[in-house]
Amino acid sequence: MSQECVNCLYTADHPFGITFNEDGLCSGCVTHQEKFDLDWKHRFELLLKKVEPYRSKSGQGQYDCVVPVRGTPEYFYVLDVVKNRLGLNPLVVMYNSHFNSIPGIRNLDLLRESFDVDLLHYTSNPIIYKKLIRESLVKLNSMRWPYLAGETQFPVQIAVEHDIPLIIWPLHQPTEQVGMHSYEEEPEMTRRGRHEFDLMGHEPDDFVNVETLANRLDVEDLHYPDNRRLSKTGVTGIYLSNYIPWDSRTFSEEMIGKFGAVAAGNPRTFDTYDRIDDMTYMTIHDVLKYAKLGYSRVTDNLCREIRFKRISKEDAKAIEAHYQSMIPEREIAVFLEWIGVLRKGLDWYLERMKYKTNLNATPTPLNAAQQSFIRGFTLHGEVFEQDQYIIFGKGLHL
Amino acid sequence: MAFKRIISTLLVKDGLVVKSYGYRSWRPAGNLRSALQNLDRWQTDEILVIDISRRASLDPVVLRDITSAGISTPLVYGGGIRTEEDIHRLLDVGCDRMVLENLALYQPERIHEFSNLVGSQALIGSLPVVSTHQGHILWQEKSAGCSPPGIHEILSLYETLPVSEILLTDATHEGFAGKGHAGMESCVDTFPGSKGIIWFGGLDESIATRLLRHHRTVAVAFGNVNFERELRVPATRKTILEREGSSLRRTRIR
Repeated sequence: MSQECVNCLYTADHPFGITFNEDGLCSGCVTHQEKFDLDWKHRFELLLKKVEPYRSKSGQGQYDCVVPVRGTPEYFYVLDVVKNRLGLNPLVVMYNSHFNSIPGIRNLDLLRESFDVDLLHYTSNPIIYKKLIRESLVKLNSMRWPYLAGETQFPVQIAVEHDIPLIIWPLHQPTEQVGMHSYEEEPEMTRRGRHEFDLMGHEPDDFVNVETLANRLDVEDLHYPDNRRLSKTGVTGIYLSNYIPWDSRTFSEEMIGKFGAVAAGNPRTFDTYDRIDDMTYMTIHDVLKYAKLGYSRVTDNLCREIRFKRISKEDAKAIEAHYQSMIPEREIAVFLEWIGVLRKGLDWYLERMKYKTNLNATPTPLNAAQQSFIRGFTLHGEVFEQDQYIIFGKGLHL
Repeated sequence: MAFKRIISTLLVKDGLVVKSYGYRSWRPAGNLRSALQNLDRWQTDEILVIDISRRASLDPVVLRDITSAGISTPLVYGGGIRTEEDIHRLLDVGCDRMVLENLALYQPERIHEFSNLVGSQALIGSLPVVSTHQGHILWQEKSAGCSPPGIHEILSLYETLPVSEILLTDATHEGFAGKGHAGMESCVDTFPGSKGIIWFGGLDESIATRLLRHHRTVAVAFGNVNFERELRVPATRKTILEREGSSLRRTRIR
């Protein structure tokens, strides 16, 4: 049995690595405490100083920074900070996941209108994308690698090509989850971080092989710019969470009120703001994530809620079990049809994984307090019911 | 003229690379293989891997990661080296030099045996130091029941042993960039030794620049900061070269 944090739900098996102090508190919880302890007013002043050299001197519509976005309420907060508090002119970029949801598209549209920004989309070839997802499933037991490779490469490529050296990301996942850095250390985006924590230790060329019929040209647009180009442009990727005490839930709820951002139901978590733009994230991906790692996105959401003292560990455990027993059959069926895998193929695939998933489980019941906690995520505006993929151009249905 | 070196240090605990803070607390920093490959790309002059797990034997996971990283940067290893067999295993996975501490302090005759095996140029003596009101003394994880020896006693010991260099770590400020090694150069100056010093613990570019001017300095070693920025080693090298002149090797980003 792996060591589990005395406060949150993470264990020693976390894929990012995790450490525990003498009291049994995990490094993620130790770092989270900084959100209560640091002088965040001072830290925001540091952010203002940090971005100052990147501000375009001529004005005249030149971009000051690149801001990658997704169609979720949290990114309204990012742009609210960048545009309205820092006064920067961003080039907003978005890497198409190919599995967009209606609320996700609606949020992106609203984002562009609300902040009056240029939004650059990149859509990779869907046939190659499918090949890479198949290979990702075989090689990594995950369907996310192609998206993560593109999402973490495209903004950097744009920064290099357009000579816009500042990239602004919302948060650094390994710091938020397992406390990899102190916020005061102000970690920045790195090639190694992308390689190890986003790409699971695999570079695009690892996906080139005869079996998948993927060649080097197919993965060309997933290669990170080389060090010489990075150095020449001086590209720096910063995280707002080093300067603002990041709380995805509170920020999302603020943005729903302020800009009308849209929330949506998620089949495997109570969080109606998280990853609602991607129809595979909380469905097939989350089922596979549990089978591979023994925890799922609801665990991440609950650890955040525990650390902000909005739920007890005991209630969190019950909610975690409840959502991990949810199997979104309809969404999974659409994905399987697209990827060309039979349902019994998925059953076999899950059977050989480390953590067993009961596909016929009945969700465990929740008590009144737990249900009330969950309802808290539906009280801040319209909550879409997720019921269909945006399927244009993927050859799913016409 | 021999160039002085920038060393990048990776501390490993239970198979995981960690950011360490005064050897009292740790944050996870990913796996050793990718960390080694990254530093190799950054053309650091030497990589120092120290296993701080206090295991009874070398960790096979660490040795496997070193092998699979396939790096060409000279590699130094420290932590838990006890036998000639350990030395052979480390040479087999590609380590060029070894850091010795407890063995050097408590069984110095073994250092002579190791030197006969690999030569003194492959051995580095470790001297972790804490600052107290009594001066700079040897850092010990657990109290041995008597007062720890002072910095001069250990420097004196290392002068008699076949080690080529001394790794002088500011254990109090290790992990806290910009805080390390206050007053330690003058302490070293009062002892007439000849062996080169590698400074580690709490360095930033300003402190490193200052230490590189010291006549006994052969290298400066950076740890945690290498995880926080892109291309950190080339940037550090450039800054130090601009401030300090020509004692470091010049490299091109590749």
